[in-house]
Amino acid sequence: MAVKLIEELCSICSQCILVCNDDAIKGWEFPVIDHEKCTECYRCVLYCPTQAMVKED
Amino acid sequence: MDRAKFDVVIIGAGAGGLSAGAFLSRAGYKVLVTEQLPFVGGRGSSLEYKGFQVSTGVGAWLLPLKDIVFDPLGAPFDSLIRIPEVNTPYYINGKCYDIPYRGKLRAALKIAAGEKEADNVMRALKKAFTWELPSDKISLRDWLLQYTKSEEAIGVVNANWQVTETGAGGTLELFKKMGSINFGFAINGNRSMWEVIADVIRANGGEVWTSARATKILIEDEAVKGVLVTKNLLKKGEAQVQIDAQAVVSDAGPYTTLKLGGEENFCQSHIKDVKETLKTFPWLAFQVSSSAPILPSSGIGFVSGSRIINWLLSPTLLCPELAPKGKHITYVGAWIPANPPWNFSKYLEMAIQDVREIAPDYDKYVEEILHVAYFIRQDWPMYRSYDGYSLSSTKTSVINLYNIGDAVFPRGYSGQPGAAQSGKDVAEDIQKRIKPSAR
Repeated sequence: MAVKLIEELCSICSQCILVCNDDAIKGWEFPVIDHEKCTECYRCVLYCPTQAMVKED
Repeated sequence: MDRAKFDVVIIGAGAGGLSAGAFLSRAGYKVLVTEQLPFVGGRGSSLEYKGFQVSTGVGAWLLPLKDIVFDPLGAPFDSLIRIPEVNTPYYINGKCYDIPYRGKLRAALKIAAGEKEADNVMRALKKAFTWELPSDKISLRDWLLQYTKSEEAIGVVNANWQVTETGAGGTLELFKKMGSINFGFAINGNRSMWEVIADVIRANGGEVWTSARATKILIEDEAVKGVLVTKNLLKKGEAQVQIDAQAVVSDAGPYTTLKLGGEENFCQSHIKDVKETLKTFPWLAFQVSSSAPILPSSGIGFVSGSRIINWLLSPTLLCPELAPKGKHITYVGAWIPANPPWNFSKYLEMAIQDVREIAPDYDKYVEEILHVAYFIRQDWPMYRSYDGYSLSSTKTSVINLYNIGDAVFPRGYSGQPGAAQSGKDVAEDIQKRIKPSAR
């Protein structure tokens, strides 16, 4: 169950970058997830105000 | 499904939602504030990152919040906010001027564009303020162009507020009212201020649920009946709860209110008002860390004559608590175009160039870009609407369903004070119309 960004919903507020435990999200435009680093804690999903960051089933 | 009953449910723990919740719970109403994020304060909050308190949106605290929210609730304010001595330095064509507070706009205009253009703009403003404000049929820029052709003069006004997209009337009304407004910084970060107001709600018997997302506003026979909420998002106890309520106050934004309630339940005129009035206001906000201050002053510095940036501020000169020991944070804001196509990397590059010119020590001291945000979507913009394009009423077409927050605040208001005022106004209206249940 990886994390996925739905770009059409993303407002580029970058809260996901601030809360990522694994330093796995980067980007000064739309955030880019490094799936190698991501440990699937889903903090980015919780802190995303527009539901752009989702848990991929 | 679990079921609970409250007098009023408030969707969203932003400036508006928390203010409404605090005033209502103090008046004896059983209040639930439901917030989808794990923290309160929304775009007026802060998150800790690498030891820095990084703002989620707002740069500084507009002091009217004291009179609108904190004082009437008996909540501490002065002990939690520090106010810079020089409140609004101007950076004009790369140079910093500490202009005396009284008459600062004229002085800035004079430096940027000369005495004659300053007189032209000030005369036009005086007419607008003392005779009649224009409408919002033209932008503030088009209104100004009738009195000055000087881009330098317009640039000074644009540093204070976006002039291209805002309505002339709404923005001038804001300037008229906000002319004497000062700023401060929250010593322990923005979030701590809103936690104080959340505590007022709890102390008066209300509840504030974080990580709790409203998924549906329940409407029956033209009136609101409650809200479906998923609480404990992504946690072990995640569950859907039906909350029955006499009134629902949405601080989620008018578009989201329509979505949650279902458009079929609203009057066509209200749907049209929302869709045709609001204009999403994005902007670029970036925050950098440095090993020494890169600005000479701790107030909000308005910038004119730049490529893109409009203001910058350095809260850690006054509030070192916001950064690890010996480190500083500088917050820079720039208006970006209202609509796509956007060129984000170009905006950031231009903004950094601008800061380098204002702060010659940028390359020497800046260590890292901490945060870059653009707020491009209507669900989470910097502002839900440009000034002059707010809804005229907090009431939706559904009985006892209100909107609050930016996009519905009274004319002459903006930012967090406006959002808070709309929450307070709705709390008063509810007190006139609905009785609290016996507790």
